[in-house]
Amino acid sequence: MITVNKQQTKDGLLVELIGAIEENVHLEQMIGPVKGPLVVNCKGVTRINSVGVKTWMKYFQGLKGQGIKFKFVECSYPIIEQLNMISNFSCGGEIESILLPYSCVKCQNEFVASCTTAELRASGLTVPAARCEKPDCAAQFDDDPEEYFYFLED
Amino acid sequence: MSKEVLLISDHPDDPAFLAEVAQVIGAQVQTVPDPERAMDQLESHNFSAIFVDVSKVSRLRNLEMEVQRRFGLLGEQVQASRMHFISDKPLSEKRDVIQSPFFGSFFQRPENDVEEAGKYYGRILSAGEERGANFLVRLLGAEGDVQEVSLERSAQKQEAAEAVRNYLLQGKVPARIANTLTNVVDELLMNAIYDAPGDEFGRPLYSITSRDEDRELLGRETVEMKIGFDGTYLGVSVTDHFGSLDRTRLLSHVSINYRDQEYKLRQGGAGAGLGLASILNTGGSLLYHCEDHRRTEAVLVSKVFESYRDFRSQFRLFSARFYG
Repeated sequence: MITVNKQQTKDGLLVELIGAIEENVHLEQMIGPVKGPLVVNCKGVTRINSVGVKTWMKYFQGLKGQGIKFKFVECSYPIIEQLNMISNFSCGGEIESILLPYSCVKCQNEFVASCTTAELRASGLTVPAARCEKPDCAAQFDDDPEEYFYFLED
Repeated sequence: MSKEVLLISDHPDDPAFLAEVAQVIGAQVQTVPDPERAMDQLESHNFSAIFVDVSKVSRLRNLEMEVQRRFGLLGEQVQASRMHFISDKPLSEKRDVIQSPFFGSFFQRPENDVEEAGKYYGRILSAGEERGANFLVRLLGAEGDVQEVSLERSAQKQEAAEAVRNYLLQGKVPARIANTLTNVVDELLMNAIYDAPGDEFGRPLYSITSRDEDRELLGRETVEMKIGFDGTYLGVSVTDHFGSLDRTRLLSHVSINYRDQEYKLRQGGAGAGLGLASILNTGGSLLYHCEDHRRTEAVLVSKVFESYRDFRSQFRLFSARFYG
């Protein structure tokens, strides 16, 4: 089940999705009518199952059909996995920023850092260095960069 | 007489892997470099398992031709349930081998920790030697402390998936790995609840039913889930009592690649193999044991790691064994 937080901003309607996108998620009802640009923050999406994928694509393909502009920010790893697995998962929406997973080899602390896709492309898809709050942090990118950034490759 | 396994490969790493497998299952290994030289062995021995290097698809096609020429494709000597394909690439890049009538089990050749990978494979083989519902218990042993729950309503699927997630988080499994494995269990449960049930003619009963519609799971529709962890490996099995999963459908879903083609929405509750495709992209092994019209057991087995990177690159296999 997800929680949907909504806020009207100067850039349009900002929607924050928090939780698992499954069969009981009905985005059309939860987000409500959208007239202008939509910004979807996916930082809190913990997982998405196959029915959730279908719901997602039906909803965003519908928006695209209505000519509504939308973009995704702070995409969490379940969203990245779908972007890498399904070529049309973004349904034409811009992926503005994504979360990068790190884990510390010393304390096994897991954390994420946000990065824009423009910065990643400009760096040639190089993983930026990151540190957690601990002084002796030895964080490493916790995935295969080639796989994680697959959807960003031209 | 001791068991024998046949290795058809000239790759220098394969004998060491097979030696570990053989030690666990108590078998002797016969090795031949190519399919042509395997025919005499196949005729004179009854191998409990046949491992073949399919890195070059020509080797597999040669094996198919030689077997057909010598024994006929329905010959007892080579059955898919006894076949184990070894490749230098993952299954996602070896879709040409899925269509083989001999496709049974598949794994990418381990690049390191060959000894551990061989022992693991041997354990899987050993646990699968007997049919029946206790695969996970045989695999994980007493240390696995396998627990079982029966789902009697479809709405219990989410509770069951969440219970798996909590089980993993309590076991200090990193959150990302726990979420990934939970999603796999979610998909397996959904298949068992919605896709497995059929009428007396085998027609699906609920494949177009909305997945958020609660219904009682009575009699054969009851779904069993087992979960265990032996300190190294986690196992989750989901069993339905229809045995309706057919080989063609399973393997056609395995071969879907939405990276190269667009996913098109269709009517109904299911996701055109999306669930299976996502399962295969994760870090665990996936094993299907299908007894026609009786039961289908889908088993997820994964080593538990401290980092997702290691989890994702772990040695794993895909296996689809069908019994009449």
